[in-house]
Amino acid sequence: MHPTRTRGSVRTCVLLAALLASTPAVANDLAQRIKAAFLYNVAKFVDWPHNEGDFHLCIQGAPDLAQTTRSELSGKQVRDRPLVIREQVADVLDCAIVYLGHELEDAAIVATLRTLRGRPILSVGEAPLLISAGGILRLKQAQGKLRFEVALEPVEESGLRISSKLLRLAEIVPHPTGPSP
Amino acid sequence: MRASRYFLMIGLGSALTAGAAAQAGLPEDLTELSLEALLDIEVTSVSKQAEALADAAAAVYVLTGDEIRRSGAQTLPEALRLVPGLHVARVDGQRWAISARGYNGDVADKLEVLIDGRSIYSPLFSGVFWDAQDVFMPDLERIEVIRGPAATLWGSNAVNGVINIVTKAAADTQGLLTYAGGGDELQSFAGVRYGDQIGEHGAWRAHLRHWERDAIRTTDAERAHDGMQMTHVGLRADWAPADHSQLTVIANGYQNGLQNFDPALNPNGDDNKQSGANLLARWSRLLDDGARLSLQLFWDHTERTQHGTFGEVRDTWDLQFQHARDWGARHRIVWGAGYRLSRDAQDNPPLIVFTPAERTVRSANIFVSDEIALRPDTDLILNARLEHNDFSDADIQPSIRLRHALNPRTTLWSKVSRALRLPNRLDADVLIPLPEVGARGNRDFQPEESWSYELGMRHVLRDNLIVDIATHFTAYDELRGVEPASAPDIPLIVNNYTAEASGVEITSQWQASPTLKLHLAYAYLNLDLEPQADTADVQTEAAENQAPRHQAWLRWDWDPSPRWQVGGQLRHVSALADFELPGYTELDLQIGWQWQPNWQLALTGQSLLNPSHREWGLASAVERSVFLTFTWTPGAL
Repeated sequence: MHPTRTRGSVRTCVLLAALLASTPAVANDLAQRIKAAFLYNVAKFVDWPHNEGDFHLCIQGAPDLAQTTRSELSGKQVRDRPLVIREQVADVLDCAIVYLGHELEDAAIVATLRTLRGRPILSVGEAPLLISAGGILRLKQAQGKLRFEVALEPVEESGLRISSKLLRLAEIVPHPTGPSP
Repeated sequence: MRASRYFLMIGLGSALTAGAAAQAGLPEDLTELSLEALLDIEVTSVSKQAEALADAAAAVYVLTGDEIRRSGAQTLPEALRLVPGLHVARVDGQRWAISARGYNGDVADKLEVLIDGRSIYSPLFSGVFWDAQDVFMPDLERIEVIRGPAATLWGSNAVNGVINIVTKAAADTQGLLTYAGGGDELQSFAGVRYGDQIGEHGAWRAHLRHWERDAIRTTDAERAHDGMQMTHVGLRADWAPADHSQLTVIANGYQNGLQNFDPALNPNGDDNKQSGANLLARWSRLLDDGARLSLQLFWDHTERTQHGTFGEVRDTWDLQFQHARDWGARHRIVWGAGYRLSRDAQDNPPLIVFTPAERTVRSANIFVSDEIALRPDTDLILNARLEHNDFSDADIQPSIRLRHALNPRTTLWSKVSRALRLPNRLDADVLIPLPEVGARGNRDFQPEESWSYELGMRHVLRDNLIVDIATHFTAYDELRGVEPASAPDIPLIVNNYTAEASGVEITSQWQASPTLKLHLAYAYLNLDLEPQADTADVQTEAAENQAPRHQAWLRWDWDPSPRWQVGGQLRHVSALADFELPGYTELDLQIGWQWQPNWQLALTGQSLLNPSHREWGLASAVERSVFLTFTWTPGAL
């Protein structure tokens, strides 16, 4: 948390309010921080075909995670590219990683994944239907610890390459070939 | 606003994050950790708070395995003492009376209890024989207690609540763990467990344990003949092949011996014995559409001998099926069906006779539950269960729950439910053939019924200070009583009582510092029984004085230094007028020393404040007890 240069009490009050509002998030804090650190690791272990410009990590429908990710990962770099965290973007095609969070409706998740199909963009989320709708990496919990599933078929279509260091810790799941929900 | 306010804010901000990280012993910057290390961090205690913040829709309490180990509890009933809202009373050296919201007694029949999904209540009297239950305590994952009707998802015994005892998955109990110890009341105990992998996708473990307890002193300082010993062996295997299926197989066997002496019924002083074996298999699969399918089958064989009074051999088979799926964006529907068959053969010693001596009781049920996200901050949960057994017609047990997040710190919930306690062998087939003071079963006995109205709130007061308040009002009808009769007639068991129970349960937990966690709880219960209009039974009303009006618990987990742990509990139970039992306050304490990385030494004291005190009934007492435990966990061999 950096001291912000202030010009008046309004700015201070806003910061104070933001801090107090975020206080109960401390209960979620560790889980969110682990997810944020995990997303950073994922960025390190995946190869994108083009490596120029800012690296955009876009978080849709998960304001808590976006806030935590900003504070955990600000100023970091991915493959010498500055890491930029964006929230609720209109055009996901600009992103390197798209995280589809719990506030999104299933229909929105399915539509976004359809847009991302075949593109070098890593789709991440937690919704049960993520993989069957064409997503690549799904976070979950088992025995109180963070776990994740990876579907390989959409990865091949996308042009991304996932390092074996990441894959061997993943649960590889089949991407269903039947109709999506 | 001045600069000093700024620094206060910044200080507060970093204190919050530092506090959270310090608790778990993690670095400030989690990205420093390797991927493996990240995936190894326990999120449970934190996310369960987060989950529970959103999901507090019933009076649910979760006791973690860690909290149980720190308390020094060596058996299941001792662990249940840690749960606020449960009335746990030690009757004597062998027996316990455990219930929630009144209706306790060692034939307490309104609480469903499960160990790893296997129901342990006896279909004979819908209660639990606690002296025949045991688990490998260090391998307990958690105990969940739902106080209040949970009949819809868990069964027709769950009128006043459900206790769900869960052991760790085999993958979390690998390698060797062994412990041994002794003391004055808990005279000797030892156990060993070893676990290993099965290929790449599975794991197994096996355990053996044994303990012996000394007899308790009665209130007139005589030695009661109620010592006991227990031997328990078990095996668990979990297997998860890559196609999203999981198979769990759990097998247990036990034998115990209970001291017994009665000049009339057992003058030789032969031990009472119980033994049994059980096998459970559970298969679960995640389907392509995100739905989860589960199938569970268990078989439970028990043999019980109580010289002169009771003897039984019983086999229970239970098959359950469940399907859970999200429907659209707003609905999560769980539905399922189950079938249970329980066959018994009674010894029928002269004093308590069951007619017929052998009977097979079948019960079947079907249930459905819909969790509806009305709005992002409001959920509605509708449940319905249809159940019948050989003694009763099919009847429906519905419930409605509403929960609303008032703000990020506060959740309100309310619940209305109907629950039934279906008739059992005791109600229908028993005969205590004594004119005027005995009892005979009634084939027309109806299910006991309750309507319960609950309202609660969970509030996060400050960082890591959480308070839960649950209020309840329950109206009971068709409760079991006994219709008086004059000699030579034997009184008949009938549905002749109603009751009203109301109460409040307040629980709070406070992480006072990274090394000290406090739990403070209070429960108030007012139970009022009334005979129905057409009965002459005035004896049954006494049950309202067997429920404590007030109970309070103060529990702490303290780490004074990295290698020392101090855990303890102060508990208070108010008077039980029916037993002329004054209220009591007691202290349990455990001091643990991590002497070497793989060695732990613990000194435990139970009921330390009084040399002995009574908790239930008129005769026996619970004595002060101290014991020492060595635990060695070399891990993989």
